[in-house]
Amino acid sequence: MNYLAVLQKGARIGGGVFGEVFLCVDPVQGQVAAKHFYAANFSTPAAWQEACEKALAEAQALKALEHCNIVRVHQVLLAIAGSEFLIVTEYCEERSARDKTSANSFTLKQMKHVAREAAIGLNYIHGQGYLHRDIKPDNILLKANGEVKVGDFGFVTDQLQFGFATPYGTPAYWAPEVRQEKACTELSDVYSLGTTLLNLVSGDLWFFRQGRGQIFKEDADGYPFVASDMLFLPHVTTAWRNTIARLIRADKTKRCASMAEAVNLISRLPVVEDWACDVGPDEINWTMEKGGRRFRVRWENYLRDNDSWVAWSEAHNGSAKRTLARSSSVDKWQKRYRSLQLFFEKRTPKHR
Amino acid sequence: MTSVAAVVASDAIILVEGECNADGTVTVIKDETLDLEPGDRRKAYAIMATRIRDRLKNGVDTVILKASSGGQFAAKTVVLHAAELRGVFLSAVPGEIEVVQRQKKSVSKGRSRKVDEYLKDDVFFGAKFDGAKLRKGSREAAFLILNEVDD
Repeated sequence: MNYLAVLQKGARIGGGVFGEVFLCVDPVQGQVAAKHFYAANFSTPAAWQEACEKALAEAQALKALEHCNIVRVHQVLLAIAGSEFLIVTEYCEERSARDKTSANSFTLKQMKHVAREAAIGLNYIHGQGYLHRDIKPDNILLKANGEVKVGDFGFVTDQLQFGFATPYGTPAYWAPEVRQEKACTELSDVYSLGTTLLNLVSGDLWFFRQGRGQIFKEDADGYPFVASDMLFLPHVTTAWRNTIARLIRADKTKRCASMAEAVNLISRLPVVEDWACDVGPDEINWTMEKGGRRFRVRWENYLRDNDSWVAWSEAHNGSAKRTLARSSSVDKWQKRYRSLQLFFEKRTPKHR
Repeated sequence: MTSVAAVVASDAIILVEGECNADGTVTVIKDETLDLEPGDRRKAYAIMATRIRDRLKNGVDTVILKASSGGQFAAKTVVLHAAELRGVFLSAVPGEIEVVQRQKKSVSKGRSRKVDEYLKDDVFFGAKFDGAKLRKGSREAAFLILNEVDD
């Protein structure tokens, strides 16, 4: 006997090479996300059959990895005509961490929360003998209640040969050994998490920026890699920079040794002032409310020869301005960048 | 049988996982520290509870916890915080795992030397423990596993 599942299809919320994701309403679960795979996208019935099996394996991996930081799978469905295969999962109202990075407006505290929760989910995945292989902000999903879920298990595998699996995912987040040896391990997932954290504390504009101190360079094969002379946003303090550096060390023997250790490193990131950072194409603004006043920093023409920054506090209506510090016009751009870094560093709370 | 021994401080939990061998030695499987997140302790405890649950979910038969012990002086904040975190730890251990709590003085009982003297003895630890690398700071936790072998 065949049974009929009632799923009310709503707006399209995402897509990719596999098909599309729609917001749907399930009579029991309420809002759900349904990942649709279409037979029409596959050239032969055999290829479609294989795709359905892979999609089913993805859903089974999700079920095997049920955890508060991993997106929950509800069911799989095959359209009666056999033309569509659906994986129905919980719906994450705030979409993905990519939506946050592409907005280029964030606080370090928010991003630490996202990275730590994702790391806990990934640590659980590793603990169960799986690799994710495609860690990036797009695959970290956010619930309206603040919960963070690792999603998109299309590349998750437990098919490890001596702890290795073949690479999938997005080259910008690949570890050097994945680019070179085409093999994924727990350590390459750690690297991808580190690059993701770097993306989270940079926003997309700074992360993918070209020019002085740019984060990525290209290797001989055209693959992007994190440059050793890259610059962080100035408010990312030393302890945070060191943690990210440990996660993305090119030499895997010197990299943070496991996802469990990565969780520890991210958890230990010290408390910093809650600056809201807005990265624009020509200027970066930081704002913070503290002690009845608003603190602001503006960095214009950043990292250019004519850049300048100024920090001040003001009343909430913008009056009673007091200048806290400013850049010197006689300095070179490196020194002005460093002076802004120091401004934020000195304000970092010393207590735990 | 796989045991995890835990020593809880105010801002971190040291976990040593080991297997007791028939010859009275312990094979260390993993030695790690779970650091408590700085800042808001309420949130940090919730995060720590998740991490403990995840860590102990598979392949652990027994948890041996260094128990609280009352001192003769009023407890300082760090001692109280450690006791709080111990409560978080206990509540997060999955239900199917047996938990035993051992006070330091009970571990010393019936031994020729005090626990602290054993902890300084490199030769003793070299002879009694093999397997994964054991940090000096984790010896107290490791000793709790050895104590169960000897019991």
